[in-house]
Amino acid sequence: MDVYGTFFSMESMKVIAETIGIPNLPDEAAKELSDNITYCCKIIIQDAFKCMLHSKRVRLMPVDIDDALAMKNIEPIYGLSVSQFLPFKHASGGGRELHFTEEKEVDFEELLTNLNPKAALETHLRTHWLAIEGVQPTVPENPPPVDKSVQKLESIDPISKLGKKDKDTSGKPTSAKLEKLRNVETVHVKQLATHELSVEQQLYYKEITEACVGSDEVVGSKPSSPSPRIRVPRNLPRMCTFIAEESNERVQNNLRPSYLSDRMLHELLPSILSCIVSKQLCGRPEADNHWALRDFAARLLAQVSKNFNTSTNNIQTRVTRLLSNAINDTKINFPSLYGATAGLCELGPEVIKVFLLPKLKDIRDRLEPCWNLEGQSLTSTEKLPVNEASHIRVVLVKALTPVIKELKTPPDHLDEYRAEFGTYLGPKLHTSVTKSRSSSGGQAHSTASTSQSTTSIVHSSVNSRLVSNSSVPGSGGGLSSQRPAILSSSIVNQQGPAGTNVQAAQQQQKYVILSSSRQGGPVQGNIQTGGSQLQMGSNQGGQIMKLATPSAQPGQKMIVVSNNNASPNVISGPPKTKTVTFIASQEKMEFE
Amino acid sequence: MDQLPSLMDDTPQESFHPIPPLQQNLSSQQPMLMSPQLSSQQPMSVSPHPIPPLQQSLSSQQPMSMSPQLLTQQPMSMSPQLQPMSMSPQLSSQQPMSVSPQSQHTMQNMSPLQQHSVSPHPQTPSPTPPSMQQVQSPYQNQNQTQPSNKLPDKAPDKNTLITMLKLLRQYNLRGTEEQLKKEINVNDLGIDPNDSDLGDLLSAYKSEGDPNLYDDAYQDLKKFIENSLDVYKYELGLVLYPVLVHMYIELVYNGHGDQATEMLEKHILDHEPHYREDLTKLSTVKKRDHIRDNEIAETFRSTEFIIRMSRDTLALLKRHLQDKKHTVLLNIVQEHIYFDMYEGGARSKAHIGSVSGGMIGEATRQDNKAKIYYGMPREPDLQNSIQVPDDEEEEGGEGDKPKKKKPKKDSLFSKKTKSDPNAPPLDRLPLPPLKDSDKVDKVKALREAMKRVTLGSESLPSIACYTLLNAKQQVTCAEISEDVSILAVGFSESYIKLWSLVPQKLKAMKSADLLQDIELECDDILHRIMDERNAETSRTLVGHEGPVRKLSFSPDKTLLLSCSQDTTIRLWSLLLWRCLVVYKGHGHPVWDVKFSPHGYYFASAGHDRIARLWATDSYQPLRLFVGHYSDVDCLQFHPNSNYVATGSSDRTIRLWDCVSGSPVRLLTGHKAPVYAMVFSICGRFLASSGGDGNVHVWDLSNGHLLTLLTGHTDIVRTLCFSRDGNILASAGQDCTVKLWDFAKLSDEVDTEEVNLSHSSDIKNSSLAHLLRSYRTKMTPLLHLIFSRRNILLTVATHDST
Repeated sequence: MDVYGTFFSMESMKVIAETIGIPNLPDEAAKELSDNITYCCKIIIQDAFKCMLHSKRVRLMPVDIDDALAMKNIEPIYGLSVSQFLPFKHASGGGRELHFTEEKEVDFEELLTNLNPKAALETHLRTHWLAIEGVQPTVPENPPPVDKSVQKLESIDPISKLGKKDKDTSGKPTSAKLEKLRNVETVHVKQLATHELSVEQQLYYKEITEACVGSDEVVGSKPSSPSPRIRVPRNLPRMCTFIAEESNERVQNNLRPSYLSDRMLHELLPSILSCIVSKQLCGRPEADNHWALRDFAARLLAQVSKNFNTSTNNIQTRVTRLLSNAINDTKINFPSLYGATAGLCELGPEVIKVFLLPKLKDIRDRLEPCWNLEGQSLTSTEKLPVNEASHIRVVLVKALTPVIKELKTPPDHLDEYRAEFGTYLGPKLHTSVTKSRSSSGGQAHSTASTSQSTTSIVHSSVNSRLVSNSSVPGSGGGLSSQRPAILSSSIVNQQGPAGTNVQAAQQQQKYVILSSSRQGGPVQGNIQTGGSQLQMGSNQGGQIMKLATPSAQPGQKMIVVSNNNASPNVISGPPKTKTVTFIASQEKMEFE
Repeated sequence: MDQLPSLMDDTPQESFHPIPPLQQNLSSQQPMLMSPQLSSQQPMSVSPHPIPPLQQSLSSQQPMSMSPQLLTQQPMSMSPQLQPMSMSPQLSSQQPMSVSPQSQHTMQNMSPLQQHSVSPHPQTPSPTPPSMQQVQSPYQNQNQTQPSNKLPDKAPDKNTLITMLKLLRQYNLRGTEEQLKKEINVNDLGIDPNDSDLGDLLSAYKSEGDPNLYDDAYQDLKKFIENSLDVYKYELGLVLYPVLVHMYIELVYNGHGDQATEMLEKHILDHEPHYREDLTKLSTVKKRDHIRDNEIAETFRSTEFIIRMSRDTLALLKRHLQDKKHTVLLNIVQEHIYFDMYEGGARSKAHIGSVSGGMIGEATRQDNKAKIYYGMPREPDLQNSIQVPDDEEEEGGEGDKPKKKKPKKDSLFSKKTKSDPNAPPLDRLPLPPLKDSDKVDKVKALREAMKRVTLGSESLPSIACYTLLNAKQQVTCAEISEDVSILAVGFSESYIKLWSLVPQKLKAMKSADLLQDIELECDDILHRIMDERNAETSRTLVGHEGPVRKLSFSPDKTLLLSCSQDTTIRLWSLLLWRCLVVYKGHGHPVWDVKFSPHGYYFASAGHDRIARLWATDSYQPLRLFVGHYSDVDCLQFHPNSNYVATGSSDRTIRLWDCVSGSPVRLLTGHKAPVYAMVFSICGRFLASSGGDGNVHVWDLSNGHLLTLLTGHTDIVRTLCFSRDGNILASAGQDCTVKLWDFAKLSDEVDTEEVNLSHSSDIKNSSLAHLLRSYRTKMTPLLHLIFSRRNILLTVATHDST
């Protein structure tokens, strides 16, 4: 270990001697001088350190050296006070390194005219509560209850927080009693990662809830934050819209889209979906206009899935699957059917073509009885399904028009429509299509093209195929227990051939989703490792396939193929896991 | 200014005499701890022409005696040979007078000092300037290692005289020198004019030995220790550090600087980090001349390193040394290491670790044997004075308090009737009598105390944080008065700023001609003398000429003490907002100053390694506490005012008796300089912390370390006990306030058996005792204080750019 540290070299001594007019300083003298000067400087710096510490600083400053010199009764070096901590600039070139102090040019004119330079701000006092009866209040003067880096870590890995829970002595706003209480309550709750909100955030939240909900429908137990576990009561649909609206607002204001992180999204989507497909959304379904809410929620869902669909969460795919499942359900009631239809329609013409059209027959069959009743005078109970059916008709007509316009060749015959779409739906559709054709051919896409630009999906949950296990030689032992199935695969390029423009290349994404841990089959792959990362060749080349392994949902693996991301990151688990969970639970929850 | 004393003191002070100077009993006391009076008055008692006071020498324009710093440094470098490049003070003393800022300072400040010659000893004809007394600094006596009675009684006198003569000769005060010589009837005390002090002191290091022998000897010793039984290993290991240091010094002294460095570099990693730091400092010494100025080298050459060892271990070591016949090693161990032997088994590694760390080893058993009165004396009976404050309150507009409270009050006062067996007798240290205003304040404080929250692990305090914005790295210290009404902040730009923390503004006294109009008999004179018109929320005190290092309020909040880099201590009036007295004496920067809890006395400590006890009305210190081997960084009065604790960069804490001036405790175990200390409310415990952020809690009754509270990651600047003594708060550079459960800690102590020979195993109980920790927003904390109602106040600095 080098104890002695730096020292002044003999060469320096000789150079300095020359500058003061002593040429050819003997070596012995130089050695003696360098030893002594090194010693003196070290002693002074040691004393300067004492001054620094007693000035309650941790950085040595020129004034400390001055003080140390004064302590030794040596004249301080005047004129060396500097405002910066390190006044030396470094320059190098031609193999030489040089440290120098920069001297700024002073504009003489300015110096003359500028009479009084700005005085430095005076030291003043500010008071705040660091703690109130042992609890640190969350005011701007105090640091956030949880450190930023810790927060980040927790958002990635909530399990890390669980481990620390047992001895938490940081000044977070919970007294000992409260903490005990909460521990009792939440013994078996899976997720303990709470996030305290600052006062401003809480106020903001309150304002928003009040603005949205109004004073008459104050929620009994006040939710503590917007993101967390609010189980939206079924009789409070507006609560959902509030959340939806809030997120929508953010989406539209183009705040950073990542603001609605994945974590929040998985809480939000169920409520949006509830608004779309729920059986009953309001107290008096016959009078209240819950259709508008459904429409709005459907639009919102489309927007969310458009904006937040990433290679890891596959929202669009999941949402589509969910809605199509709803349609497939033959016993579903009309309002839910309406919602599911509206939701699918909002997702774009491709979706309509693939999911809605095949099912149109079933829907037609269900709607058909209403045709007979239409126009007749009915009791209020009988009137309801008719009313509902007409709403479904409206949305179907609206959505199907552009699709059918493309599918069918111009001579539109009413009978043909009637045969295909039933007596209830057919005529309306026919008039709509003909009207649309006559007005303009080009506007056909306008209604349902929201999601086309970014992604488009060929979803075929019905067509999912089972792939034999043996086709993947490299898969690890832990993965082989379940049978793989490809749920969806899409190779659709809306923007023209790949590579023609960068924008397009960045936007096109492809998805291969496996519901089980195996993969193979149609994708000719070469798995390099059995673990987390594998690369696959494909016709377009350069694609990287990532295998993510969500920890909490061992049944599901996602393989994401993307063009634009060259770095083979393995996406970490928890956020996606949540999304997965949500879909799984949503299916059970919302359709009965 | 002249009317001040009468205005500030309601009661005449004739009856009160401060503690007397020590000369009566000093001849029998330890030579190291002589009071300043000793040094000044002993020559005086024999000389009709005492040493001229500083004033005189200044007027005679003696260039040598112009600066107090010079004077203090003189003894350090008594060698007449001037080393051309060394930083000896002689070098600077040759500069003309005008260039030394300190000397100018001395001149300028002479006048206030003269004005306020309120010496309690008018019989003292012409006191020696304080700086002269430092001839008695440890530098002179360092060849006498322990403050024990090793030397015959006569010895200090002779040594003193020799030193005096040398000094006089050096200053060219020939007349005085001759006079002194005549007086003591000695022509030659054996002073060789060409004699070098350094040479004498270091001659022990002279050795013809082959430099390579040292490394062999050291390695051999190391090997022996490594191979010895585990029981003895750790105690034996303590020998390695002093041996290495002395080998280094010896090698350097004999001109083998390079070998010395080589050896140090080879072995430095064997040692604990705190010793490594000292070794690094030592490594700057590469030549014989450097030894003199280096703190470590100087301390080691003049002091024996203290190691406590069990009888068995010591026998083992001695046998080994005699077998191996390494004369180098044997010499060092015999001459420079003091073994404090004890019976019984060798200590464990943990225990050794907990007490090691001091620059010169551990405390001997003898160091902590003295009985100390750590208890709190009974509060003076305020029953009689209750009537006074009540009347005043009613007249002063505070009469809204219901009369019903009276019986309650009585019970409060009668509560403390049981006297503490460990309390000092009331007349042990003469304390100033309570003034009426003090009594009023005390009653107020008691009333406040009735409203205070009892803290504990379940009821934590509220913490108010005062943040100093735009501090620009210039705030050096902060202090809040006991009644949390005023905040004083010291700046590196030499000024002091005070803020009122309560709605009442900071009022100044009326001018003299207005004061004349006030009727002296009226009851609310204290209110009337204040000028309401010029009240301000903050005031600035200007006077120091260097960074202000520490501030201290007097208990009655009318006075403020400040100490500074400019070597002076100033006493400010918070009624006049002016400087009253400049105390000089520390010829070096003063790091800490503290008022006694009972007022009147105060203590200071600084870079000169000496702590001083002063009285406000004397410009000379009453006691010098000499014994630390490095800067005294902090000090604290015991709540009963009878003792002063000092913490030092030599990583030890010493407790001094104000009455006798003797050291009564030596606490070793800190691994870094001590920057903060606080006594517990009961007076029995001392909490201290410093550079490494570990809080040590000591039991003063036996000097043992109770526990080590770890958790802070940087320097701890301040410590404070809650008023009920249940919670210890610590804060510092790491921007964190931590609260520790002290009630639990002291309960544990009471139930434990106390091992008398050395403390029981030290538990690191940080987690069990840490109640809560609060972070600020990157603002380092300077000061903590619990208010009378147990609200914790803290001061932080924010360096905005």
